[in-house]
Formats: sequence, C-alpha cells, structure tokens
Amino acid sequence: MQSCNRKASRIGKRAPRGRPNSNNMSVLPRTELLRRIAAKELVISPIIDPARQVGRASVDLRLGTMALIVRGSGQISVDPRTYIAHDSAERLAHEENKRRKLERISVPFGDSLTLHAGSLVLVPTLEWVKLPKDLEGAVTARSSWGREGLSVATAAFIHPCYNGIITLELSNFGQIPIVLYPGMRIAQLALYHIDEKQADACDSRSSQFDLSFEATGGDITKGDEGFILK
Amino acid sequence: MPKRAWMLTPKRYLRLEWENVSRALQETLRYRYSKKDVTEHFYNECSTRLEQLCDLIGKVRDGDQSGLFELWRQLVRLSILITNIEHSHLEEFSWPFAEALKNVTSAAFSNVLFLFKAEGGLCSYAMYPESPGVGRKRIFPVVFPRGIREFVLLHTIIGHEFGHAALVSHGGTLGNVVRTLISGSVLELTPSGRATLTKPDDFFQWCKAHLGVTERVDDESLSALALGWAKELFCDLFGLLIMGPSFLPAFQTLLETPSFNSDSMRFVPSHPPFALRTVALLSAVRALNLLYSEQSPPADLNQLTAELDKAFVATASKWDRGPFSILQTKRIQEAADELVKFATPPLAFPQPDAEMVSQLMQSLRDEVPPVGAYPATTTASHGVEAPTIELVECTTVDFRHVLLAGWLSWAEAMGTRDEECFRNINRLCAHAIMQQEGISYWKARPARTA
Repeated sequence: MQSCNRKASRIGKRAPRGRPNSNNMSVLPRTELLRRIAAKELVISPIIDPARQVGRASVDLRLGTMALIVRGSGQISVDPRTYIAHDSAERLAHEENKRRKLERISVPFGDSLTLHAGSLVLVPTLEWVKLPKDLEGAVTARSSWGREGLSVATAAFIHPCYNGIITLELSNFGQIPIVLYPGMRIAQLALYHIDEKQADACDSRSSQFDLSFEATGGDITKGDEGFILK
Repeated sequence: MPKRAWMLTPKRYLRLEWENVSRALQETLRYRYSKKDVTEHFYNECSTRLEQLCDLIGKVRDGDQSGLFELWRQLVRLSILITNIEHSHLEEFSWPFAEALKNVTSAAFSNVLFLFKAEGGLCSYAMYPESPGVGRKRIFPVVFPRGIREFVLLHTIIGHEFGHAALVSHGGTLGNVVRTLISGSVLELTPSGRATLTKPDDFFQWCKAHLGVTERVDDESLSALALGWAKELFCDLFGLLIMGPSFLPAFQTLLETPSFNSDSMRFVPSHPPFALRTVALLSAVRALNLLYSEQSPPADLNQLTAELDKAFVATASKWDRGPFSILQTKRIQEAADELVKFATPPLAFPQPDAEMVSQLMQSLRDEVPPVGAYPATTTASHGVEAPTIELVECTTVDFRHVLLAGWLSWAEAMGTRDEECFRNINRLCAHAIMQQEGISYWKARPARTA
C-alpha cells in the first residue's frame, strides 16, 4: 500500500498544477484506451460490457448504488459563510445543515431512482477511476440521456492522478420525472493526454475528493475565506 | 354500562393487540428494507403470520390459559420482528456484503429470511434464530455492530453466527456433528439421570482448576452450560468452513484483542474461554486442510497466506497440548468430515486460484477495489500491442476471495502502515463486493429475462 500511511494533514491538499497547454492535449482513441487499461496504466474498473462500454474515444460510466438527494427543507440557501465556523456551535450547525441537506439513500441493483424535474442528486459511478499523471479526464452525459433532459456533470474535469469513484451531479432539466437504474450507462469519460514533462508526479492526494468511495458534498469556501468574511 | 379497557377479556385483549401489530406492519411500508423483493417477502411472511394468528385467536377459548399465552407470545415475537424492520436502514452497514452472504447461504437456508440490522457495541455480532408456531418461513435477525459497518474483513466472523442458524434450521443432522465434536471430552455431558461419559462434577472441577470458578451450580445447569459451549465450538468450525482462512484473523482481532491478553482464560458462561476456542480452531483448521503454511507441497498461495497462518498458530500454540486442548483431534476430523457433507458449494469456502488472489492483492496495493480479475494474459504491461475487448472484461470473483486478499494485504502492510490503511483496505474490499454484485447481476441477465 503505497500511500495508506500518509498523514491526515496531507490528505485533501490540492496538488499545484496549471491547465495543460491545449496544444499538447490529445484525446485517447479506443485502441490506446484498451492498451492502457490492459496494461494497468489506467484504471476504469469494472468494465462490465467492454464491447458496448468502450467507444471510439471514450468509456461509458454506469450509475452506482447510492445517491445523495439534495433537499431544500434542511437549509434555506447555500451560503458559503455558514461553511466557516468560529466556534463549536457554528461547527455543529454547519454539520447539521450539511447532513440534513443531503439525504443519503441506497439504491441496490434492480431498484430504481426517480429524478424529479428540477431536482439535484449526487451519485457515484459504479466504476473506480485511477488516472496516471499524464492523463486528464472529462465527463459528459451520454447524448441519448441529454436529449431526455438529464445533465450528469457540471464539474466535468478529472485531474491527473485522481483515484476514486466519480461523483455525477444529476439534474433533470425536463418537465417529467426520469427513472434511473443502477448499472445503467449514463455518462462517458474521455481522456486527454497531457505533456508528461509538464505533469506533476502522483505523490499525494490531489484533491479533497481523492480516494472517494461515494458521492459527498464539497467545501465551497476553501481558500476563499478572505472574500467571505467581513 | 360501558365496559372499560381493564375489563377486556384475555381474548379481546389479544384481538386488540393483533390490530395494533397489524397497524405497525402497515407502517413498515414507509421504509424500504433492502431490495424491493426482500421487503415484499418480509411483508408477506408477517401478513401470513397475522392471518393465521387471527384464525387461532378466533378459535381459542377464554379459559384456555396456555393457548392464550402461546398466542400472546407469538404476537410479541411478531411485534419485535416488525420493529426490527422499522429499525433497519440500508446504510447501517455494508449491504453488498450481506447480499453476497445471502447468495452463498440461500440454498442451505431456503426456508429462512435473514433480517440484517445494526446495533451498538464494538463487536456485537449476533444471530437470533426463531422457531415460530405460525407462518411459512422463519425470520432470523442478524446483527452487525454499527460502529464498524465498513470493516468487512471483520464481518468474516459472521460465519460463526450462521452456525447458530444452521443448528436451529438443521438441528437433527448438525446436532450429531456437535455430539461428534465433543465426544470423549469434558464437555460431553447429558442431563442428569442418563448415562454420561463424563460426570458434571468433572466439568465443574475442570472449570475450577483452569478458570478459577468457585461456585458450583446444579447438574442440570452444568449440563446446559457444557452443551452451550459445545454449540459455540461447532459454530466456530462452521464459520471456518464457510468463510475460509479469513475467519482466523477476524476471530483473533475481535476476540483476542479486546481481552488484552488477560481474559483468555476467563470464565464467561455464554461462551467457552478464548484459549479453548483457539486450540479447537487450530485443530479444525488443520483437519480441514486450511492451514496453508502446513500444506505440502507449498504453492504460491501457501506462501501468501503464511503470515495469516503464523499469527494464528503463534497464539494457539500457547495453549496447544495444555489443559485447554480438550477436544480429540480424531473427533474434530470426524466432525469436519460430517460438516463438509452438509456445507457443500457454494456454502463451503471455495479454494481460490493463487494467480487471481495475487491480482486482487495487487489492486489493493494500487488502492483500487479488488474486483473482477483480468485474464492472466493482460498482466504484461507494455507488451500489449493490439489489445482486444476481451482483455479488459472482468471475471467473477467470490466475495470470500476478496476478503482473503484483503487480509493478506493487511498482513503484508501491517508492519509499516497505520490503522487508516486497515480502514482503507476494508473500504476497498467493501466497494469491490458492491462492484462484484453489479458484475454478477449483469451476467445473470439471461436468466432474469428468460
């Protein structure tokens, strides 16, 4: 276990890196995707039905088995200021809001998840994704789902060295409910090669979501406290 | 003059309680317990029991005290089961683990519905088998400790609790195995008044000499105590047989560590002392040929599991051949042989392929859930020049092999890594079991759609 023993303080530290020069980026075609997965340089696991799941330049991602449903009743607004706690009472209030805002439900295989119009639900992909230092990912909806009003990701970039499930932010932009089943292919991941010379080594957890096992809420204030506090 | 509540006859009281329990059952429909079909099974079983109880309440006479009491007892039991469903939430512990467990045990327990739930306590695994007077199926609540829901490697100990389930549901066959197991030992007692190989007083003297027990109870209680211990030893054997080598480190971690090495020989009425259980397990693991380090000729997997074996053997050897070695090796072998006839695949632990376990362990080293090993031909890294689709298709892996890989990885890492590493290995294994369920669900689609 190479990185199990890292100090907690290092976990969540965002590795400094700039956006790679777009001139050096190229999308990985199917053959290269397969070669990298087979050689275990890239992990997208499990690929249950490779013939359908691996496209010309992307890999389809499936819906996982849990969901965080964002509820309006627990918190009247998303106010970054409430994320900054000065004392234990504020910390407790923030934690309460955070946990009550997100209702966690399990959706076993064979069951379904109904996404109502205008709702927001965070779900994990079934696949575990581990990127090497020279690949960056981009997640988008499968076009057929997009046409039904389903948006799967608003934070679509997956950084190099990322290791974990990918959280999809599902939203129904249509007017009628959408029923989703765990295991369905709902998103696709394209991978872009970036210049290895410009890439940082994968020597620490690269973001607050690294080694994620399930969808979680994030910290929207981190590093921006100066703009939020009076 | 209107009757008051306290003037209800016993029969009317039962009717009132019956209605209350019925309403509680309807309330459970607010909650989803496990998968949809499982919820339906529980609801239908409880409804059936209520219907039958309704008929029986209609027939019982007000003066039939024992009949009324039995119906009251049935209603109380049903009420507790229904409350358990209300208290069961999908997120309380690793449900894919429970699903995988149900899949391998379903054939042996075809007439049982397992109700999984979580409770407080640090290592409070339990099983509460029932023998209901009404209904079509039995409902056995299975308890996991809430605090360690993610620690699937420790959940391996639940194999012991399934031993209790087996004893209740297959008492005749397995009762013989219990008798074989303790035959000729100080635990072989029968209720007083019948011929015994060992007198209850001998058992008391053994407890007095080795466990510091000073107060003697009557012969009946001593016999019941010895029988209880014999069943616990059987359940250890059963757990080992169905969960495989992972049972040993889970057993050690959960039972030895909390005793802090001082309670290994403490007298606890409900269970045999840790020293006795450990020595019995050592003999059993040898009889079942699951002690890889002692197998001949050694294979790759034997090398991998050596660390697990060594840790357990080191502990058990402290008491081996001492006063806690009360079971006869020959009897353990016979009991194991009898049990193997009952615990046929998929219930029995399947022997893993060494290459597959190595791949699962490599995944854990890479911090990737150890799911669905690739075909061996893909392991050469840069040599894959013209990859085909088949190279990345996952194979099916038994969840017990995932657990074995997890324990082996921890054995490999524990010298240099901290507790967070153990937690991560557990979470990776739990995640892999969930992913494996998806693979199996997909592969079973022709059968589902047929």
